[in-house]
Amino acid sequence: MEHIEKSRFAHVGESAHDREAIARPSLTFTQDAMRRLVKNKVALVCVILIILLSAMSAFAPLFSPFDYREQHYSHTNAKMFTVCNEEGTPGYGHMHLFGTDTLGRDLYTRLWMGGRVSLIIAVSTAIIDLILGCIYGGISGYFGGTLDIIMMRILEIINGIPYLIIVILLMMVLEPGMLTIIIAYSVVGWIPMARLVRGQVVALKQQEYVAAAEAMGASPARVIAKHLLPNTLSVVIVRVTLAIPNAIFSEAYLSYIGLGIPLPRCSWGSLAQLGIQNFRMYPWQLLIPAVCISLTMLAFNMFGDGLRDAFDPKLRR
Amino acid sequence: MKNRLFAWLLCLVMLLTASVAVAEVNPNAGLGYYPGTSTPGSIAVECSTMSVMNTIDMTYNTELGIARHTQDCLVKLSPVDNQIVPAAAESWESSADGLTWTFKIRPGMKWVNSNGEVVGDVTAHDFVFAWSELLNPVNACEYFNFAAVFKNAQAYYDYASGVEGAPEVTIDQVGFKAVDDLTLVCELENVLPYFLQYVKFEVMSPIYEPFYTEVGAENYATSPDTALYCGPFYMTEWVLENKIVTKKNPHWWDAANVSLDQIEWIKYVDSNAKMNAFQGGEVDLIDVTGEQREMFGAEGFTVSNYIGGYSFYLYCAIDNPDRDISNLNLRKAISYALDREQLINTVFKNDSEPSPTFALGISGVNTETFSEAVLAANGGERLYPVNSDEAKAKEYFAKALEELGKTADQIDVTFMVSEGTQNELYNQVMQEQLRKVLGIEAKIEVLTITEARARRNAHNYDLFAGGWGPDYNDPMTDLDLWTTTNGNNHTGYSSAAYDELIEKAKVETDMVAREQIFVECEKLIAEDMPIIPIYWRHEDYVVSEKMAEGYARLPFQSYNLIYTKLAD
Amino acid sequence: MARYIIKRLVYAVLTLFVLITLVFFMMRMLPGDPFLGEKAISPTALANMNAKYGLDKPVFIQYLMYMGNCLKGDLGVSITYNRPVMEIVAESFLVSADLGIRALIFAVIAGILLGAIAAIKRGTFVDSLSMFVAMIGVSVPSFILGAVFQYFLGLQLRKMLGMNIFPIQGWGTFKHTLLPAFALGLGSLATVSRLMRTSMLDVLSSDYIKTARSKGLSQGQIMWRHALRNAVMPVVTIMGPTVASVLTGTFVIESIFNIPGLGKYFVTSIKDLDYTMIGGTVVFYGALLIICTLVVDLLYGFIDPRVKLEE
Repeated sequence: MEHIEKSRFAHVGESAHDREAIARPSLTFTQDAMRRLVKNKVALVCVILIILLSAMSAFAPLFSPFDYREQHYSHTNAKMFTVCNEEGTPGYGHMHLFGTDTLGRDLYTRLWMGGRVSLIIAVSTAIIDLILGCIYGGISGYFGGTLDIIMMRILEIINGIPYLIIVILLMMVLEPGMLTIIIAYSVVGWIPMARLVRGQVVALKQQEYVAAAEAMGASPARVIAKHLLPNTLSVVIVRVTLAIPNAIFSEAYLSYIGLGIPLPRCSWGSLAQLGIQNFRMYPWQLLIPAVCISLTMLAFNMFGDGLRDAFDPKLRR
Repeated sequence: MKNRLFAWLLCLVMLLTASVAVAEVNPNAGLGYYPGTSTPGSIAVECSTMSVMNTIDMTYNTELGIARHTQDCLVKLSPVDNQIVPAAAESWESSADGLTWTFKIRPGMKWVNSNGEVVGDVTAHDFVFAWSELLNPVNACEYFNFAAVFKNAQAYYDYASGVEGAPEVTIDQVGFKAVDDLTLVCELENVLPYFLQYVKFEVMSPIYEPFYTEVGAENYATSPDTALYCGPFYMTEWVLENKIVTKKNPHWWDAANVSLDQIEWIKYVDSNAKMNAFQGGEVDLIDVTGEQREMFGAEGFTVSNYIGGYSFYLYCAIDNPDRDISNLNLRKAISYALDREQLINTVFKNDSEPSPTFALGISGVNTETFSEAVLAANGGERLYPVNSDEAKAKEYFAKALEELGKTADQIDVTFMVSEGTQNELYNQVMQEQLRKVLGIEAKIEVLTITEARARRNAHNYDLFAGGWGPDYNDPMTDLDLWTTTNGNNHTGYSSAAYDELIEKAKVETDMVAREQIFVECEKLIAEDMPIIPIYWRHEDYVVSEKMAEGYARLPFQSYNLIYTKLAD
Repeated sequence: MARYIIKRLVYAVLTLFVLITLVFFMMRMLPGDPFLGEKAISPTALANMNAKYGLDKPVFIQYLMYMGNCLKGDLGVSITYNRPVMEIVAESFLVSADLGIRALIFAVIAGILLGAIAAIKRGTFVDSLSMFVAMIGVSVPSFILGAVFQYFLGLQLRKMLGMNIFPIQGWGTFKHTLLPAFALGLGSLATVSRLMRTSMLDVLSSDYIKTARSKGLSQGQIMWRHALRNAVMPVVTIMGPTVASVLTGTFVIESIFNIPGLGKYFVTSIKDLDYTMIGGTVVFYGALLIICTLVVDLLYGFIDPRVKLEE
């Protein structure tokens, strides 16, 4: 064994302050989550994609030479990259990047106009789902007993009423528009979420940390919000990312029965629905909105996975 | 240009086929593209609505189309020239005053059940029984009014329905009687020049009383086994909202001339699905959309079309002065602003015609169609333009704005639309045309069909795209719609002059003078514009090469496949 | 246990009662009239039609009569089809359930396997592949999926091979069920597999799995005895309503493949304002939904011993 000189070691003395110092910077829960989220390359790419799609939806129609409702009868169902040959229109000589639809409307402009509608509806309904579902499911699962039974039966009743009846009745009361669609979807959309959260909470509330929190006098609201809900997060986030496509397709379905976005405005769902009629002849009319929907979905899903990994206290290292 | 030439050629071809007096010859015979279904002797055809099979309860064209194949009325329409020909009645005669009709029932006609077994004979009593059931208020038949033309029939219906103050009338007093098994005597309430057009209607099919009472009224014709058939085919299978299978009835009087063994009626909901099914050889006859028509055209496969007699137009609710649409000049401005040709080319992409007049009127007195007589009286001028006439539209619009005291962007006009992709496209084109020509920001409101109908009947809308199909071959079927008291006049139009003209036409016996009255009616509609006529629809369909000839799709008979001959 | 089930059954009947009552009055508020056709009807005829279906009485009397009939198991006569609602629902449910069960078996087995494998092989190619399959199920709506399957696997494959492997439309033989069951199941498969993956990840990082590992159990035993059983919980939660909705058919898949199932009546009855039919579908669907949730709750107790049912 090599001999080590004693003189190479020096006694540094005792400092109470240094001994208790925290070497790593102190991080709150959110800061820690953000730090881990940013490290996740895939999630980052997805965020960029979502921002890109949103930005195109917000700004592309402003810079397009075509109006989303302008109809060109001389070139209906035009192929991609067709040059507009209708003299006297502002778009004369410009290119229909994605072609035109059955009525000769520029699909590029309509795609991004539709993006506005679809993205806003998707995100806002997902958020409403999340909030309502977590509160309802959390309360029902945590308190249990008769309250739970009654709350769950209410869910069954709401679930049992045909969606169409609710929608048609709402349509009578409200003006057709984005807000109405969001309300109509939210009325039933939060139910699976509530059920899921409740199921998780029921399983989690027997855990020791809940008992500990209760023993220390935490209020039910605090137990639910600080201890139970964060632990259901992983499943909840997956459900939210699934709720986004559901919302987009519900909108398409609603526009089919009349509660959709007022015509001639459009959404990705309604564009895809129109495209499917012609997909044998003009496949791109379906393909382009479908790709946009799928990309959005993919981005939200991957981003959801990233969020899950970042926020889930169980995966915190 | 090419398109029009093609359409013209197609017309020529159709005229030629008519002149050789064969119902229809498949223009694609022997092409080898779409050979059709594989079961020998059988065809499968698309049929959209088939909810009820009890003939007295039927309301849909397509249901009546199936009944045309499973039941025999007294008379029917020929698939060749659409004229009345004998069916269950071998012969008939009418009295000099036109009020009494005597029908001789064809002897030896049989009732068969869903196994093709003979159950009984068809007699005059079966017609009397069926018509009594049609008039029975307990059955609440929507089309009871086809039997209400008989003497005392309406009075009986009112009495039996318990209408207050209705005098007592029994069913025996109603004007139809079976003198013996093969003689049916009918007495009419009023003279009806087109009475035979009523009895050819499939709602007036006979019903075999012993069987009907045996299965019970509420169960009759709810499945193939609970009904009897006296037509060229009998029903063997019925999957609700899906398909109906009918087989050749060997006991039918003209069975020797029927070469089909089986017809399968299939309901499709999805237009891509039926296209795939057609191309994959699972169905032989389907209706096609404009885009599909273009696709078949590009392959060199001919798409056939027929005129159902339907005229399409915009209802305008004109009786509410709070609505901008009550302004006549605004309606005229809209009519001139609409580009009907572009509308058809974009949405339907077929041979549908921009309406020159409101009523299509299948045949005129001296001209081929009634519409031609109107045009002749109007100096050859159309009442409604083909393309948008911007100058005239703006002229009327300026007047309208002045009268309403509004600016263009304050004009409030909403298209009420019943759901459906094509409907929505159709209304979006009109919306955009109004925006382009007049600068009106019209709105579109999409509703379910039941809500749209309720609001239409309550005159609670601005513009509503609707259509009207003829019940019989006479302009009256279209033109009496706009009289003040007609239940189908959903516009609130009430003109003493118009009502008077229709009353005059009802009693006028000179056909030329009568037609002149109708021409005046057409002119009055164009002047007061309670409706804005848009187009006359042509229906497109394709037929697989399996069906060689003998089938027919004509006004009043959406399907007549009885004498279809198959390719070898 | 028995007490719990009885208690739940009583609740189920109560729930169903409230549901029927609510829907009965809600559908009467729907705009329109079931008897308004394209052509006008005289007031007398309209009155006769209303009388035929008992719609001429005050709504509350109608409600009492409807409830009385429901108790007797009579759901009335459909206005559109003029035949007993029970008969229509029973006939079409058999078809929908047949298709639904096939779709579910496919979705659940494939979904759980895909999700579990993805979690175990987290971050590998297998993970990405299985999640990609799931993603297709989520991100492509069924009306596109159905149409694409029908065109490529139905029509084009037949043209290419010259033989009939997948019928394009219709119902009747085993072959007819393949494409629609696949199209119907793919959506649920996606949900199941993604939920499965995340919950499996949760389970795999939990202490009892570490304990099991340190005990020296084999990988297979750990997965089968400890991980899968616990990870399947959220999937079971979501299954209740999914089973009810898949078994009762879907409008889209039924229209595309021309299947005589129950799904379309949920839509058409409301559009046609066929009151008796709306009532019938709601009663049936409601009952099925309640039974499914009950079964799920019971299953919960069996799978997860931590959940006590008596509570």
